[in-house]
Amino acid sequence: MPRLVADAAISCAIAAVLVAAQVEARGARVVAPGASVRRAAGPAGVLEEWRRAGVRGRTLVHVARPVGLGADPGPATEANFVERAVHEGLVRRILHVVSEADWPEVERHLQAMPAAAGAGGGYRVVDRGTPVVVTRLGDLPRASEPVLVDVDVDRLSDAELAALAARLRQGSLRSDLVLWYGARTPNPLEPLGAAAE
Amino acid sequence: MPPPSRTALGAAGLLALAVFLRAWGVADIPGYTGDEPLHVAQAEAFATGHGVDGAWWNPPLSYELLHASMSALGDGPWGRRARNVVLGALTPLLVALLGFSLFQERRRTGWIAGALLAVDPLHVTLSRGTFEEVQAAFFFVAAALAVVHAARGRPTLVLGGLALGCALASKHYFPLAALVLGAYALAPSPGPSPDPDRPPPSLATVILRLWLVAAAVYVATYLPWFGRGYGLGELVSFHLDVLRVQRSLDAAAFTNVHLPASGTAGEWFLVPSMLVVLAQPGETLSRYHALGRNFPAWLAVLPAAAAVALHALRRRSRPEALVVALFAAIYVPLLLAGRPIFVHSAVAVLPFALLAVARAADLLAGRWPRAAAAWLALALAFALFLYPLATARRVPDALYAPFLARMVLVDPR
Repeated sequence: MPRLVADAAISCAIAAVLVAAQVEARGARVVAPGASVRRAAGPAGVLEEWRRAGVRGRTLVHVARPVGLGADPGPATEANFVERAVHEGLVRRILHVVSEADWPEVERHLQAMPAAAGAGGGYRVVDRGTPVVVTRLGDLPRASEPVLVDVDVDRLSDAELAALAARLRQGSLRSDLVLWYGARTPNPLEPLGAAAE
Repeated sequence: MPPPSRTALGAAGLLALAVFLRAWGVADIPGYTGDEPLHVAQAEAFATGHGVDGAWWNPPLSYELLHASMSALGDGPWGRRARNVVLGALTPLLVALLGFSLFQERRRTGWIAGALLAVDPLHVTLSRGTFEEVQAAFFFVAAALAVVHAARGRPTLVLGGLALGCALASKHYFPLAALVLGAYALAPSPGPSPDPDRPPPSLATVILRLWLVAAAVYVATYLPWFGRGYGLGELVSFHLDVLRVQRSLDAAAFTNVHLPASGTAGEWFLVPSMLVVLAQPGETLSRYHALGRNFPAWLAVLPAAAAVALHALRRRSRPEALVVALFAAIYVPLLLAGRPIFVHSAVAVLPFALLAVARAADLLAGRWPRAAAAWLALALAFALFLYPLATARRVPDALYAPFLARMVLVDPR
């Protein structure tokens, strides 16, 4: 009987660890209140907006050519701003969306990486422990949580940009904060922003 | 059996020797040595659940304890090195106790293994730094000791699970060995039970108290990582990533120019060679730093393991089988890596390698006592000869030059 009680106590302690881990994880994910689609002043501006919104522990849908995980010091640029966000705990995993035009070159590069694994129609890689799924918009997996989205609108075709706007509008891609930058006009994300306001 | 007071005295002497060899002059170099800059950066990053280049795949406990040590004692030589000095000095004692528990009728095995580990130059070197292997080996030997007692019906299996979890969370050397420990706890003892009122654990008990407790400890060490928003499902994906990345690594992935000189794991116990760096040349006295291998002990490892395995088969000896199985379960995965591996990893194998050597020496002593005594004296003397090189002390060139001429000597000038 004492053995049974001890085993029950040990089982409870193990369950408590798992629950604590999950609670800690959920509590660490901070979502911005409401939903917003707006223009940012380039990659550095995106990082500033994330900091200002107080988001933490998030999945990022990063629509741009470079993944932004460079470790180079200095001001935030398109080459390193995502790394800054990861380092500060704002972002924990990345779904990197590459345009159809850029995909052949990116895929060749990924195929040459021994540690890259197939994931849906894309590839899963890890950068210093941060999981990155590199994919095209059509293969973007459905996220089970609201995501942060940043878009370099100049890298996508009109059709891709329209498809991204449609996914956001229909809610198949749920986001509390969509930030875009670039010079393209007209930009189908702009009306989404006006609607969100 | 010697009276307990003699055993206690011997254990105290062993501990004192291990502490002395590891702590003496450990703060002489106040700045960073070896991989300390890297490990300190890792400790700061892992404390917030973040990964860093070249280490993100490692489990976090080693860096968490280093961070705790530096928080308590500051980012000075003791703050960085105290953890390994303490755990490294305790490991030979634990190895001796494990030897006593396994070979109760022949305590000599435990004494020899403990003494060889206490003076082992590589273990001494790593115990005076920040390397993860010292802590990992300490916790795994503690787990083995608890499981051996649990197999006799003692209530130590949960302790074994806690220690095993800490070992697994220190570095990924022990998944196979964890299975071996469970199998040992379950395997029925030949002959009558030592205590019929205390039956050995059942499969359900081993799963719960050893493996699941270890898994829970392992998960708990990732709490800072969960604090970055990652969930339990992502912990599984992360480990699949670690496995994939580790399997894709080749020697070119490492930037340390000394890696090829470490050789493959297959060479550790076969090739009498070691990497020695000329740290500070002098007129007649120079300072060297060696990743030392105690050749008389290390070159005896594979023959001893084979002899002990054969003996275990003939006598159906569970303790001997356990020593060889744990040695193999830790060593074989390193062998299968097929690429040069830093010799530091040998510290994870060393407790069981030296237990096998000690057991073989003890068996040998039954038939050829003088030969066994001569070999042991040679092994201890050679380890002490290497001690100044292992601890980067100044030595007379005239005494060491003939030996160093046969080693891989790196002159950074």
